[in-house]
Amino acid sequence: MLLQIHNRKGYLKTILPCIGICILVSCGGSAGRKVRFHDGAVVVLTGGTNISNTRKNGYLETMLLAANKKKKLYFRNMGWEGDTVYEQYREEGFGEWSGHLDSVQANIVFAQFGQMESLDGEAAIPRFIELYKKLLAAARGNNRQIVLLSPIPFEPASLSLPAAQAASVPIVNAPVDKYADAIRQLAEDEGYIFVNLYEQLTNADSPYTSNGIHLTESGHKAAAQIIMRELQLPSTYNNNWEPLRKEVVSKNNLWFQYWRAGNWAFIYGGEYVQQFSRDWKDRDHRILPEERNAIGPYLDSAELRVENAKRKL
Amino acid sequence: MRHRVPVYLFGFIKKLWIVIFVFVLTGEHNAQNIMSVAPPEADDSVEAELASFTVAPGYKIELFASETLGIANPVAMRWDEKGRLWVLCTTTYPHPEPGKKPDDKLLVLEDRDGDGKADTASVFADSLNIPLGFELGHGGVYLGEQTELIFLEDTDKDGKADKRSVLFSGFGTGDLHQTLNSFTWSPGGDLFFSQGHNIYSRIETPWGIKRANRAGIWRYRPTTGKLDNFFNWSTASVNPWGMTFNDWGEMFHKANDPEVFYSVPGLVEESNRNYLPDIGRLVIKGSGIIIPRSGHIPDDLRKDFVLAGYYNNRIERMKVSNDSSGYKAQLTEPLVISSSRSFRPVEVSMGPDGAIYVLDWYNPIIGHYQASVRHPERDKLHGRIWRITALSRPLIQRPDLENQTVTGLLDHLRSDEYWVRYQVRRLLAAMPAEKIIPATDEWVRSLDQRDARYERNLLEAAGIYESHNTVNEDILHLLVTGKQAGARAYAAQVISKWQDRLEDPLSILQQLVNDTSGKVRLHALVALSYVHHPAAVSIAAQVFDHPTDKFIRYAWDKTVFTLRPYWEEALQQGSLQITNPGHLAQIIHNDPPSWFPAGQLVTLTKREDIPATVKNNLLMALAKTDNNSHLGYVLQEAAASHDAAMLKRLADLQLPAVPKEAITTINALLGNTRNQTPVLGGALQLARNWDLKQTAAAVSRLVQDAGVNNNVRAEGLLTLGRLEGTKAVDFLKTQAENKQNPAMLKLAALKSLCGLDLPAAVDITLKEIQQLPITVDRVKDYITPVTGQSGGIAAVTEGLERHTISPALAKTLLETLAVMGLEVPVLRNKLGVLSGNQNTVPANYDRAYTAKIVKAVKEKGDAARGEQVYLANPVCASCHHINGKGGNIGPNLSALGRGLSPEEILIEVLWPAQNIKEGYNFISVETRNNEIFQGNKVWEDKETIVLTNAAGKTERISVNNIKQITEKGSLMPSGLLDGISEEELRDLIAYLSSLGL
Repeated sequence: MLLQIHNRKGYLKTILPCIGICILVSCGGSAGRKVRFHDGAVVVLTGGTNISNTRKNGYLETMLLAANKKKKLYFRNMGWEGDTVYEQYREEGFGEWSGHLDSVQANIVFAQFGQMESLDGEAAIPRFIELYKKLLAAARGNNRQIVLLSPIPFEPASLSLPAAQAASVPIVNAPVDKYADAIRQLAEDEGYIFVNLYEQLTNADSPYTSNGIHLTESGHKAAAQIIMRELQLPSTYNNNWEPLRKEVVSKNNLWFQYWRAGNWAFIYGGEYVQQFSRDWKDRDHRILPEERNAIGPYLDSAELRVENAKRKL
Repeated sequence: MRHRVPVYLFGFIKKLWIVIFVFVLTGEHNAQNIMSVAPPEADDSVEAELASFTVAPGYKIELFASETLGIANPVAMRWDEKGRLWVLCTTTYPHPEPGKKPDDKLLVLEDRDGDGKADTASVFADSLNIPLGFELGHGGVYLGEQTELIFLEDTDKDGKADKRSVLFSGFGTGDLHQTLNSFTWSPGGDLFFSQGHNIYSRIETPWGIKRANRAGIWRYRPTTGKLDNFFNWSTASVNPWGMTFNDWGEMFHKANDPEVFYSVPGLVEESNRNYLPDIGRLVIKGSGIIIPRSGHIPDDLRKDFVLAGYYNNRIERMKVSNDSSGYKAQLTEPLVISSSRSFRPVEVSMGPDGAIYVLDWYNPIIGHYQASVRHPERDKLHGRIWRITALSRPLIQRPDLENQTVTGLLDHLRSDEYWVRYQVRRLLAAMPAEKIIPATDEWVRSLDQRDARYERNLLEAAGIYESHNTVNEDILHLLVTGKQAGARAYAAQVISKWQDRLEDPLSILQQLVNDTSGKVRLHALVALSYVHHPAAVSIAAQVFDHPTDKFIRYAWDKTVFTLRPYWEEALQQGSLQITNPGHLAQIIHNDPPSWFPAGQLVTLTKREDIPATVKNNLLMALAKTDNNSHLGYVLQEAAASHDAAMLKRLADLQLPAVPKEAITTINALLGNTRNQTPVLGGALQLARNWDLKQTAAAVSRLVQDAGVNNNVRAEGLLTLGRLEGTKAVDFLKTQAENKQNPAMLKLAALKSLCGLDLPAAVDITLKEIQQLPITVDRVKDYITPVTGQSGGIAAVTEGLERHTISPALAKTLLETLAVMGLEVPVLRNKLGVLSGNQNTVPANYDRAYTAKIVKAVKEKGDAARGEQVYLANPVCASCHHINGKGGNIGPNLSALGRGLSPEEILIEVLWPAQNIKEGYNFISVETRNNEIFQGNKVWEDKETIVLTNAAGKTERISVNNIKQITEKGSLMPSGLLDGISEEELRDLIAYLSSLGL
């Protein structure tokens, strides 16, 4: 259902008329290779909480925009807490993970998986890689560029537990490094771009996470700079970009409100038939989906503000 | 299992006419009174609402705060130690408007002059986006806001939050009236909160991803950061709302429905999906729960539950008493009844003065499902807090807690005022451990063992250690050896938390699981689920050396499941020895490991000391092992015990081949006509399901033996059709038409025939129903065999081309289909024509028609006449409950008029598939034998689907036997009122709208 909205009625259709004609040369290659950002490119970020949270601070997006001043880029954060290669839980009627990449006509996909998965231990790596491959095969679509971000290291030191108790917390012994290695190998085998956050964040200033798993705001900033460096793009965050970052975050809030709309069960989910989503005078008139689509113009304006802020850099 | 009547039990309808209404319609049934969701109260003033209250003798109700202090759409309230009341308001609810910045607020109310009314309100946090719950703690505020659990702090102490940290994110938002709510501290410093039926959460934690599907309760331990959930899949309420703890730290929670739960048996981590039995119910929905423990409250109320009856505008009261290892709660006279439909109490709370405070959402519309998101009459302006006090009893003077030394605070833990203890625990939990722990040690030493409250004081002390994540074996020992069961039960709770740092938690739990008190044994069982050690399960099994009950059995199933990763491997390798075979049987019977030696299973089943249910589970497992080679033995055992239920369970097995000795056993069972009816029925079901052609002769003899019970012969007819196939058609036809045969045999023959020659069965059916008397009961009996057959409805529709039926019969058929809950538009239309019925109800939702009827309801509706229409309609009361009477299949209608407008009620009645209530999920299941079962799905696991059908009967369908499942929307069929006149419809809606007013 969501796909129909995107494709038929959605605002994306109207703001991205040129995407369809952009034809990219198939990628092949390895780690350290550059991402090609073309004018009008749609960049989708996928993964779990760490990716989802990039919408709240906007560092990575701001730096990528600043590095591509002359090109219009559209960022869509599709990270979702708890997403793993094993499960990307979406409510009834929401549509599947890869379908959403199609619905926004993504050109470049950043994917970060493997951190929570590493709690299953080393023995589970082959299965992890098998399913990651499968997921990426679905994401790859027609010449989509894929950037694999390695998982970040857990930071047990930021747990507020006595050492004796901390020792038994699953993240303490999880082999994230082995998962990061396996992902690097996967990227090499499949020709995806690979960014090794694991090694470089291990040396970052502590604490870089708030709870051993999730990056703090400064952790996000550090991670964004590492990603930029790995992608051979300007990798020092410039404080003059703050106005741009503010607009990015504001745009991301709107995107979140649209994409992960609350009351989903009533919009297109299991409670679709209820009176709640409808007009009190006219049952056939469905207010909630309309209100969701009404966010589109606000999102357009927010994109414009991002663009204006970028021009002022 | 009654296999041959898929959906509708014969004779259920006879109950329908004996519905007695105790409900007294006191209101006037004129046009002004019947609107419910729609018009708000004529007068929304505080004075008008105050005048709407009828208060229980000995109590009074007064206003504490209202919209004049900025309260609107209040959803939650909590106290701070200064006696200030914090109130969370969400005018953004139920959905943010595009382009509008959400600005929900957390307000702080203060009664500065102590006159029992709040004087000032300040804003602690704003710009919030539909938060539904919060609690104070650790110097800040824990707040649930959509996908996030937030911690708000006021670092510069200016009274406004200036720091916001996300503790967890990924909570679902599928329904914004079910997100995180009801935040409550346990005595040990755990923060509990809940989520509702359309919420699916995925939370990344250092202990792994915590998943909660549908309604459930979360527990957050701030000292460790660990988050866990319980009761997900809506297994203890579809929308929990309100929790409380008794003086012994036992948790209760309220469903946002009629039920109340004793939560303890389900507080097992990472457990299986089992429905927790409730301990009592309100008449209709309500939320919030407290036990009003204060010196101000009269003795007779102090141990009761007080609950917020937002649906029928009451403050309810339940009497609580012991029930084996748990409790039961019984509804008694309410504390407050309001005649205002806008009085919507959503929470109750004990205040610092000992009074009961009521949070009043004040709104004529409460429905999230039933009323439009933008219904103009959703009130966004009002919100009230009421204070209920006992007449002529002094209020409590709030102690000064803010300027207290640690010792002073600790001393307040002795208080009988629950409010004081709750605040003190919270304050002590927030202070540095190095200061608190030595002081607590000292306080414990100072406690007087002769004090009647001594052991409760110990519990409070343990709570302080827990909230600082500090193990204290001394306090634990004192609790374990406590004289009161509550103290020993709490010791088990403490062990569950400290077990990883105690030297030998299992030996203490072993002592407790063998305690003289069932309550202690229950708590010990739950605590054992936390000890991830192979021996934990064998110690837990000792609970079976004592009397058990539903709470213990529930906790046992969960504990065994949770501990499985720790006991199964050890058991297989022999490092875990369960010397008591009865215990071993209890451990494995629910799901015996696939490696478990069949020989041992046989040995266990031969023991006299294991309960029949356990033995049968083991026999079932045995039946499935080693390519069914033990089936002969299993059948012999089942036959020897004459256990019909067991025979029927075996009949559900899908078998590649049936051993000879099994056939011999079944033939022997069938050959002995002295066997009891259910046993013979079970044997026949086995013969039929396993398609044992070698039993056909024995079956045939039973069928033709007039001396045999007719139930058995009927079952035999069904079996014969299956075993002999088309060879049996002529015989079945004769039996179906034989006037000498009792109806039961004719119907069974007909049913059997349906599977072999459907048109012939339809012909006989249509001839038979023309016989007098033409009643819904009789027609239903005769039409059920064909309608329960795949393709049966179409065959009847075609059959009507071959047969002429009278308009009267056509009308009765229409009524019958409605009673049966069948959604069959084509057949209905045809019958409509044949009945000559001038049916004006459109087949699908029609706006103009709806408007016409609603207008008539308002202008001329007569509720008293409508009640007669309701009573005369056999369908309504068979499924719906009004004030203690009627069925439980459909939603309770007791206070329907308070929840829905006439327009909405009309739509529900005429086109029910438009709206479906939470927890009413109607499906149609077609089996491999082409039978059709329809009903509300109440349970589903990998082996079974359980339905409640229109007759209120529970049908268990083996997943193996399912061909197809179709979602049908609502069990309430369309066309229920085909044939009703517009005047009758108008009055019926007027009546339904008046319910609960």
